[in-house]
Amino acid sequence: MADQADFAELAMPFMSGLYAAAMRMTRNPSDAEDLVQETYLRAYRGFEGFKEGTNLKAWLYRILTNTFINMYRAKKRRPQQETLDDVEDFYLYRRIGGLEAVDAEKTPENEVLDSIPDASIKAALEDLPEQFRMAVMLADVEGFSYKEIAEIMEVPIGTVMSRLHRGRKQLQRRLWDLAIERGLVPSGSVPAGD
Amino acid sequence: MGWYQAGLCPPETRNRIETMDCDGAIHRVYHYLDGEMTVWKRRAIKRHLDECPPCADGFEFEIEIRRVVAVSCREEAPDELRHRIGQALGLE
Repeated sequence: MADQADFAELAMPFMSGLYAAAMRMTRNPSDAEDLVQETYLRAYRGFEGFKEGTNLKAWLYRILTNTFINMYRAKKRRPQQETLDDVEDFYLYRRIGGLEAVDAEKTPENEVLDSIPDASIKAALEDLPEQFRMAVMLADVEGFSYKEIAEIMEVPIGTVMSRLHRGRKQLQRRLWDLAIERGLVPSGSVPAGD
Repeated sequence: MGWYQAGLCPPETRNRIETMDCDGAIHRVYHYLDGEMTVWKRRAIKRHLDECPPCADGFEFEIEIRRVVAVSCREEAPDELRHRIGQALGLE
């Protein structure tokens, strides 16, 4: 059984990560702050139920996710199951990398990525439907394993894989659109919508 | 002659020496980069990447995309929020 007196010392170091996740979930700073604060209060109150020696980070993100659903999902009544078009593997690489890019005008692919501003990448991620966005964020920003994400989101591992892989590919499609909008790739490049 | 050719491998591993083509490797890129696959599949993909520079380049690019997304999405919790939570927990 965990001792509440240890809570702050153990849990406070995760605040920036939780805040980043909350920003991607709520998409605005004021809601994100409320969400993180509520998460800490709930975690503190429930800390005696936390099994010492188990994964505190995953436990906190699970509370964050549940709190988000309780506080915000009710407002919007989103459908439980969201869908996303299937996007081909290596979507972005095929376009700005070696496979199908126009060689004469080729920009090194990493340069294209690096020239997309942070704010645009955040917006592209936030644009994904909630369930895909959370899976991508938990894996690629927070570094959780499939099994941990399954526990945090309370879904089977197969569902995690499907959301994560589809979400990542959809994100690449949006990054491609951004690269075209910003003129980072040759003008003849075809938008993803076509 | 290796263990495999000599027929010395235990039967349960003998048929697990897998080969992988480009489509197979690309299709499994996320499982590979996430470290979520069997050691047999992993070796098959690793062997393919060693022999196929275009696929290896594509895998590198996937790693790069992930790095850029992770770095771009980092946030620092505002001081005011730290203060607020500290107070709520009775630390200040």
